[in-house]
Formats: sequence, structure tokens, C-alpha cells
Amino acid sequence: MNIDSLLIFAAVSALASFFVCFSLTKWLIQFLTTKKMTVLDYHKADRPSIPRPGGPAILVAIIIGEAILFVVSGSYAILGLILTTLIAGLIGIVDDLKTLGGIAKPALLLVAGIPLVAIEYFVPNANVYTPAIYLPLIHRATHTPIIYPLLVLVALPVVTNTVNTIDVLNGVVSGFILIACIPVTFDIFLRVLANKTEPVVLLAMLPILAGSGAFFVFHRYPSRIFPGDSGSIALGAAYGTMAIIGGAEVVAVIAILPAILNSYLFLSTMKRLVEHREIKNQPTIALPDGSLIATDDPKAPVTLVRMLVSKSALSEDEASKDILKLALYCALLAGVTAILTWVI
Amino acid sequence: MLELFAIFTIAWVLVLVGTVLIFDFIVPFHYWGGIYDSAAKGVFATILGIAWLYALNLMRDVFVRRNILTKKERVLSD
Repeated sequence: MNIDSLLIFAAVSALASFFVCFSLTKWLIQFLTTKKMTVLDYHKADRPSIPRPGGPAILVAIIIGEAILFVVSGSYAILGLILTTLIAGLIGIVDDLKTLGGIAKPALLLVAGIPLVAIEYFVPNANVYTPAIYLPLIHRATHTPIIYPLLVLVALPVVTNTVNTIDVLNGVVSGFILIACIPVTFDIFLRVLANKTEPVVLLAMLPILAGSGAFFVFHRYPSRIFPGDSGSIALGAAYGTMAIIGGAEVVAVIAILPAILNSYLFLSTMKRLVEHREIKNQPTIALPDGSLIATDDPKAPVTLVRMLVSKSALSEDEASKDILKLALYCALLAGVTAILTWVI
Repeated sequence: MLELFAIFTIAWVLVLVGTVLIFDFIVPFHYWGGIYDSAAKGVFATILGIAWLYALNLMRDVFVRRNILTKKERVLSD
């Protein structure tokens, strides 16, 4: 297939993802509210009930968009992306309905990376990923033929959980992924110019951007729906898989530094894998007017939001905007890293 | 907020300096191949990761704990 036809189908896949996510989310808001599948939004003065999970809309939108690209291109990398996102999203839906534990969820997510490794091993010339890492300022590939497949299996649960932990305030996780995808797309674009990645892999980013963008319309402050674990895990899995099949590992890590820091600080203070909803000592206190302030409780985990509101109280809107500002800054650093890797 | 921008800048510089130091100057891995090479890369990458996390921990103590621990006094004085 020539590049013009591919671009047309890429546009179709992005539009399909956007409209599927948009209309499905709208429908889910009504459906979940009717079924009383709602949770309290504690960070607002009137504590409204918000429908959850909206993740299935994100999952279906990404799968449909990527499926269009797979049918027209036959790329095994995109097939791997579809299967990985699907498995992770389904685990997220189970988590939303049954609440998996802090250890069970990452353990189950180990399964999500298997399709990528299996296709690469069993299908000749599948080109799902290249077992080599290009590091900034080093103009040669660091070949990792043995470690890389293991990293794929471990990286996906780590990335999905890391993205999951940033789902703390209205609009943060969808906006965060939307921003983090920009430098990753840029890095893959530079790789395509250097003939290191196939153009169709770059186009595979479009349905993810379109899906998360459509969901952000409803998820931004004040949220009309929450993504739930299914949403954040599906977004995290799609993002992590794009980093692997696009060879943008280092850039992808830098772009999600705020989420990594949040996850790390949480783990370093809690000393174990634990679900947020199991925490007894909350890191922030919601004041009667809905604004947030850091707790003085030494047993409470240190988190990004606690750090943000440690000096003075912030409204949820201000705190979520601050997180997105940090995401933009890290996206800029990640973009510079891509230039240091492929241009300078 | 400014402290957080500083933390992310330092973390980014550590990634760049760490990867270049370890993977280009100290051990030029790209010339090697085989299972021992992979094991060595794994060990060095782990050391880099631990050093990075340790640095983040130090920054947390310097930048964050101070704010949180003194918040009570500030609120009272306000």
C-alpha cells in the first residue's frame, strides 16, 4: 500500500477513534448513572456522584482505530498493540468491577506483554520491536537481544501502573497521556526519517491521541465521568506499547516523569504495593470549599498532589492544571531528548 | 511548584549524564554481544536506576519534607 492511501486510512482510524470514544462516553455517562454505578467526587464542595468507569469507551475506541490500521497495513506491530491494549483493558474492567489487590493487578498485567513477545518470536519477519535501545547523545544502538523481551514483559505492568497512579484529579490521566504522547510521536517521527521504524507505527499513535482527546472532553474539570482503572490501564498499556514498537523507550520514560515520581514517592513511603483506595491515612485533606491541602500525618504517603499543595491550599482545578503544566514541561524535556538522540 | 520543576530537571539531567557515562564512556556495550553482555547491561542499568531513585529520594527530603513539616507552623502563623 502506498503512503497516500495509508495516510487516508490513518485519518479515518483517528476520526473513528474520536467519534467512537466521544459517543460511547456520552452513552456511558447516562447508562452508568441509571445503573447507579457512580462514585463521590470528594474534591468538590457538594460531593457530586460521578459515573465510573468510562474506560470501556477508551478501550473500544483505541481498538477500533488500530484495527482499521491493521486491516489496511497488515502490520504485526499494530496487531501486538491491539492485543496488549485489549488484555490490559480487560484486566482494568475486572479491577473496576471486582477490585483486584495491589499485587494481583501488576501480576495479571504481566500477561499483557506476552502477545508482543510471542508474535516477535513465532512470526518470521514480524518486526514488532527492535531489541536495541538508542540512548541520547550515543549514536549507536545498545543491543539487548536477551534482556529486551524480558523488559517488554516487565515494562508494561510498570508503565500501566505508573499511569494508573496519576489518575488522581479531574482530567489528569487523559490530559497527561495526551501530552506525553506528543514527544513520543515526535521521537517515532525522527526514527521514521532515519529509516529505523515503519511509517505505519507512527500512524498508530493517532487513534490513541484521538481516543484520549475525546475522553478528555468529558474528563476535564469538572469531570462528567471518571475513566476508572480500565481507562487508565488501557491508556497506559497503549502508551507503553507504542514506546516499545516505536523504539521510543527513553523519551517515553522522560515524558511520564511526573507519574514516575508520584508512583515512586508513594511506594517509597508506603513500602509495599497497595491500592489507593486501601490507604487509611490520606495524603491530602479536602477542605469544606473543595480545595486541597497537604496533611501533616507522617504516616500518609507522599504524592505529587501532596507536594503541590504542601505550601498552600489549591482548588482541584488549580492542582490538576499544575500537574498538566509539569507534564508539558517533561514533554518538552522528552522532546529535547529525542533531538539529542536522533538529530545532534 | 518551582521545586518540582527543579526536581524534574535534575532527574532528566541525571538520566542523560548517567546513560552517557555508563553506556558510552565506562562500558561501551554496543561492541559486545551474548549472554554475559546482557547480564552486565542489566546490572549496570539496575545500578543506574537505583542511583536515580536514590537521587529522587534525596530531592524529596530536601525539597518536599521541609515544606510539609513546616506547614503547621505556617498555618498557625497565618
